[in-house]
Amino acid sequence: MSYVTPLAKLLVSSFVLALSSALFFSFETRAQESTAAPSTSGAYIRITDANFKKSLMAVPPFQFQGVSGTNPAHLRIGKDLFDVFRNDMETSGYFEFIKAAAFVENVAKMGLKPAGEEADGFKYESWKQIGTEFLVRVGYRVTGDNVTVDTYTYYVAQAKLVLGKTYKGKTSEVRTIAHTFANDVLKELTGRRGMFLSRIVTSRSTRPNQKEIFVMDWDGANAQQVSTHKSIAQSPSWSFDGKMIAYSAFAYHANEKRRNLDLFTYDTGTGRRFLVSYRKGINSGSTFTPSNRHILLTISNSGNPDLYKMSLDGKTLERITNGPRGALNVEPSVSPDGSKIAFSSDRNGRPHIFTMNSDGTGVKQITIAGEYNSSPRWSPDGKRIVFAGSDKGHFDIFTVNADGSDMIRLTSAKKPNGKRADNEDPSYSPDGRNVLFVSNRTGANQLYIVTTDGETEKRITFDSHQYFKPHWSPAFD
Amino acid sequence: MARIESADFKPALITSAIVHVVLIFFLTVRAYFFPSEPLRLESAIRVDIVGLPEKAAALPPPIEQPAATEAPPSAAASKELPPVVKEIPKAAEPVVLKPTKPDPKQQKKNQDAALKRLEAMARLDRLARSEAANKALNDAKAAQAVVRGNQLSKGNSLSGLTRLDHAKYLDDLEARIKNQWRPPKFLANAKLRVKVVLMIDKTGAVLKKQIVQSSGNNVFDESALSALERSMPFAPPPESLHGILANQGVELDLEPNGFR
Repeated sequence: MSYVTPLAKLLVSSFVLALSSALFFSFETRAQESTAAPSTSGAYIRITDANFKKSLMAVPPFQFQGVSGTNPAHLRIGKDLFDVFRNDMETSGYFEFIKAAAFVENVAKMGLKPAGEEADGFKYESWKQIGTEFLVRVGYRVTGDNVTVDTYTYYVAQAKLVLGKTYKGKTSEVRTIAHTFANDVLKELTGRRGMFLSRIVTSRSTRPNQKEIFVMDWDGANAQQVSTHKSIAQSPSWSFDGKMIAYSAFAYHANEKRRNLDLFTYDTGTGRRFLVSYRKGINSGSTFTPSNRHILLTISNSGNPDLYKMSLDGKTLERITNGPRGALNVEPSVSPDGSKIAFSSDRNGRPHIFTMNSDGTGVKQITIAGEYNSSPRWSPDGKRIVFAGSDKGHFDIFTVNADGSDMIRLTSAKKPNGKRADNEDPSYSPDGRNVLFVSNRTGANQLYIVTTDGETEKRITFDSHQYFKPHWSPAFD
Repeated sequence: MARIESADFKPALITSAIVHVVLIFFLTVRAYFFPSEPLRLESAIRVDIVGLPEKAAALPPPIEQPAATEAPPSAAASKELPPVVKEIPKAAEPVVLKPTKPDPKQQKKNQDAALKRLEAMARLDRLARSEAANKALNDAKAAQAVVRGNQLSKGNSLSGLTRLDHAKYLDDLEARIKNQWRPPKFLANAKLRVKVVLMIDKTGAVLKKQIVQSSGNNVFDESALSALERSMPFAPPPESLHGILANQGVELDLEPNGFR
């Protein structure tokens, strides 16, 4: 049967094949289709960038709530409370303050509570309209030498009270009360207390060629001298529990007929002082371990300045670094969990920051750039290290992650003559929000603090003394 | 063998024909019940241009006042009225230039600085838009696809003007809200996340704005709602979004420093 020629068969088959494969392919593409049409299940936007801004706080003058309102001593108390609190809030870097001239209501006649709760109460609306986010109302009463302070902190946008607390104390403790209140406000808003009850220990010039150890509040108030060596006392540091201070001072060794840099400890509670290490040469750059039972310091009596771990009584000594020969290993700082030590060493040429395990193993170089990197200290959460680095001939403060990454510069001030100042000897606040350092930008070495993002700087001391190597205390509350 | 055995050939041909017919029948039936979409070659290529991360400012810019967003309206504000004709839209600006509530009195100087900044931004924005209008659709989209650091852009899926309107409106909405969002500094390290649903009707009016997943912190939640309030009024959405925005709304997931 050849009713169909071979050519026709060929044509028919190939046509059929082509048709079927065309249909087959169209079937294939269906599987690759994506849902390009707008989804009918709703739109979604994710935002992961935000411009954080300081919150606007209104703090009207604190209101005296007593009978004899014109006693100047009483008014002074209110002003001190106000000034200390405002200074604390401003230092946190979180708030900006609305000027009193912008207040709409008459704050002298205004109550501490909103209008709904008392007769002369304030109206939320009149604070909202000037942009207030947080309103702080404080009243105080004085009876004898006791003062009672009633505080109310309101979140205006939602018309609610976020913190209402009363403080009582002696009139001589007014600064402490204000600092405690500031700490409480920060704790309520951020979950972490502030550092406003902390203190600073520092070396300060007294007479020409003499320096002694001083302790003061974080804001420079209540400065007290705690050493009288009548020589040079330097490099103080707090123990982790804030009870002891260790420092070095040049003392005369009669048997050797020369001065030696010895290590002392001072008990802030009892006022007792101990000579802990008087080994020949340097006994300096001391720091406590978190257990408060050991001190790390640089001792040079072996010929090389190396780091040693010493018991608090000075008797047991464990060598932590061992050269290399000719290298200086100085300025140790122990991490808050006790596992690591940061220090400065010039073993690879220029002084750089290193970290190592607490037994001296695992030495890692943290800084690579810069001419002279020194005085490292850990942050309270153990994640970052702050240090002073010299770059083009002047020192600035830097922070870096413990592994050396993410370095940022915190300072870059200039002296009045236009030259760059030296900013050195940094240490973190106990809440980790600020860094304390020494700067010679005004001519004399004065104490400053800066927020850890480098944004807000604040001068702490306003005198003509020279300050050296301050250390910020742990939290006392 | 010059002679082909037609006897062998015939059964083979019949078998082949049957197989072909069956195949065609099968595929036709299948194609009839499951029609496929035509092949869209224009979606085949996606290009992300990735830029190097920008240098982080060692010292953050001077204190930004809230007045930065509460500048009085300029002439550019009138451009926000959307075109009546549905074509390639000259989009609603991501930069905010609109009247708002009265400001704190003492921020005049900062307002002037903020005004200058906004004018500069508006100028840049006008420049960018005129350039885009001159290029082809693809080029405009490609220019917008430059991203920084390790972030992936949403990419471009260009399949018609509807898709373009849809994506552009949502992009503009996102840029606008992001611009207005100012959470408080004291929560900068708090790792919070809030989800808000926003429903917009076809004229751009807000039907609903509500927190659907609170961050647990009042002040943070409030900052998200304020951002929406300051972003109002919204432009009328394109038709492809009418239904979605009026019924389900857009979910805004705000998490500073979160993963994209």
